[in-house]
Amino acid sequence: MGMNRHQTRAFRLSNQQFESVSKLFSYCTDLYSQEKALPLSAFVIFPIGETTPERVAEAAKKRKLTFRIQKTGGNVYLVKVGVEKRMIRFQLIANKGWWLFLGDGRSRVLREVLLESFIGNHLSWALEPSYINSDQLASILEGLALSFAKVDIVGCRYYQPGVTKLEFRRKGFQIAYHAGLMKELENDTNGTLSAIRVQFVDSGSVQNRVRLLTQSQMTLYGGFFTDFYQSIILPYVEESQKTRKKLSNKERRIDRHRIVLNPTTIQCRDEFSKVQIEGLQRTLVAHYSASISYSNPVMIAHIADRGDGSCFDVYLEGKSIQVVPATRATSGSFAQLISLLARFSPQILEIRHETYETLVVGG
Amino acid sequence: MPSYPSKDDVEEEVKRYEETVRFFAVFERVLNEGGLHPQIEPTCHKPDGSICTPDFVVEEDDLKTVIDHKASLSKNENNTMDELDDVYNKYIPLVPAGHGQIAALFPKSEESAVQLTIHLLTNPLVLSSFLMMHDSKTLELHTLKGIYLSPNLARIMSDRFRYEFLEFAKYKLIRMKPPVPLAADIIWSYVLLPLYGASDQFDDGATIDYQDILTETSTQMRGYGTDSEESLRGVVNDALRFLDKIGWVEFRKQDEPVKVYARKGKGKGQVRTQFCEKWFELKANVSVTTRTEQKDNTRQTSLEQDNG
Repeated sequence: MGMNRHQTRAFRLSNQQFESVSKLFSYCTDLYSQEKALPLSAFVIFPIGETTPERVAEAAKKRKLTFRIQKTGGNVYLVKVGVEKRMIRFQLIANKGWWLFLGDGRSRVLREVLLESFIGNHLSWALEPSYINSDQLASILEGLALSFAKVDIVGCRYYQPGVTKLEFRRKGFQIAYHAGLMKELENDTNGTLSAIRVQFVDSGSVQNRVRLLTQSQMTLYGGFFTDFYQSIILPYVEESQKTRKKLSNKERRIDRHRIVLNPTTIQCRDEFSKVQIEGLQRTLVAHYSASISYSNPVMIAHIADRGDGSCFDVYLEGKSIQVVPATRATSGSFAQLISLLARFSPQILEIRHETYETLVVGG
Repeated sequence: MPSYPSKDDVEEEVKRYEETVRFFAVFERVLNEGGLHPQIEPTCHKPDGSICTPDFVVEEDDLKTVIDHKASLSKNENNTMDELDDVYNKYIPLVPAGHGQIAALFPKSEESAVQLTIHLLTNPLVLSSFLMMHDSKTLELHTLKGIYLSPNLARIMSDRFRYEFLEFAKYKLIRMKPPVPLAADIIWSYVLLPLYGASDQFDDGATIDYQDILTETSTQMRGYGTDSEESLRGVVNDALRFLDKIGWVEFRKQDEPVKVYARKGKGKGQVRTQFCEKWFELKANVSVTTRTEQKDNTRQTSLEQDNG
């Protein structure tokens, strides 16, 4: 609203202290409805086991990282997160079972520092990023369409196998949401959606402008914070908890003389091409401790996440990839792997979770 | 220890072992589904008191068949015949006269070479070949010489079977000793990193209990629960010694905690390839002491010098 960059800084959420969640929410509601603020990014993170903000602070200190916490009231913390010289402030609401980090500023920087560097490289054994798939993303939009008078998709990002396609900045991209739209977009692009930008308007005149990613992050560019929280964040939490539950406790185990395996199969519409398989191999080698023993036209690999020690067998053939969690598999690492594989998959038709048991002993 | 003319030979040996484990996983299932419940790598005592571990022992009614799996055969015709003779002579003491057979199972790629010399074979060894085709996920078995007395086995050994890659996830090791780079890969990926991940020590390397490593490795072994961990110690120690030499872990000696490093570039990329390369390099200059032991020796020497 005609404010210059310097004026905007004064309204930064990260400069404030709140005694309670309701005060934090009131502040956000005022701030974003007046469009004075920088974009607000919300990150949904799951604490693993008995992790508390205090324990994260202690662990960070040991590792020469920054996680400075100031409890301002109730379960609200003002947090300074840093890796080396990059420092970001967040408001943290430490709910039971899930944490919400709220930060303003450049969403890419917030993401890099919190998700990729701080958690991804150092604290993935204590904090787990949240994930939803493109169907769950569509389901959140479905909920929006039921609650709001008008919902428009104004941008999307999708992965064609091996290639990230950005459609956010394309001028004039605006489609009124209808059921099945997300599948149509995936069919048109032969890709898998990983983010959407959406505008939704209630019966009044307030226009909410939001970006929603499949991995952990939602950004509010303007509108009612309450709508953002109720219609985007909470449904996202619900969906990502479903993902987490689905991908938890899937390790290979030996149970009363039987080996129990819990494979997840990504079934695609088309066969993987040689180029796609090679691209996938390169990516696996870049992200994991990997051993790829057979390739083209099938790929047999085992990979291990150096961050949290999760390990998986990966089998690719024809139109499907199968992931079999091995000795250790956190739901966060498992979800991250599935999301990475999805990028290289020629349009996903179905993700199947199964259980396979076989006799171990034989002498 | 074998010497390798090239790095490719190391990779080839690793691949052969891995394919052998995969074959075991599929063949075991095929035999089970065929109503034959084989003993796999059992410890058998010969009448002379010596011990051997045949790959598969199948018993149907009162017929006993010992099957020896060969991942490859010698390229030399005469040696091939010697190898097959050895199989027969090695296992014949285990088979009751008139109530059993010995069979050798080798890759289909060796079939034409065997055909050329088959007439030289004077013993009643049954010869079968196998072909695992990952593209079509099919195991093809073919009998070249002899007839299996066990009817179910005769049918199975000349048939084709579908398999799923998932079967390869059942286990990664069999009792036959794996090549060190492969054992290191299995232990690094399925044992050390998961134990490292479960600990919250990190950064300066996590210290892992030796017994935990041994126990976790034993779960990757076919027949887990039927074998003692003792038999695995050699495999685990060799792998840890190798990982120590290349600086990925600190391993002093058996039963002492192992320090694992997964950061600072350790463990990134194609680990199998890296291990094969390093192993090939080390073979040129094999030392019995580990890097950590060398450090200790150096420290000890300097202390002795300091003391006078």
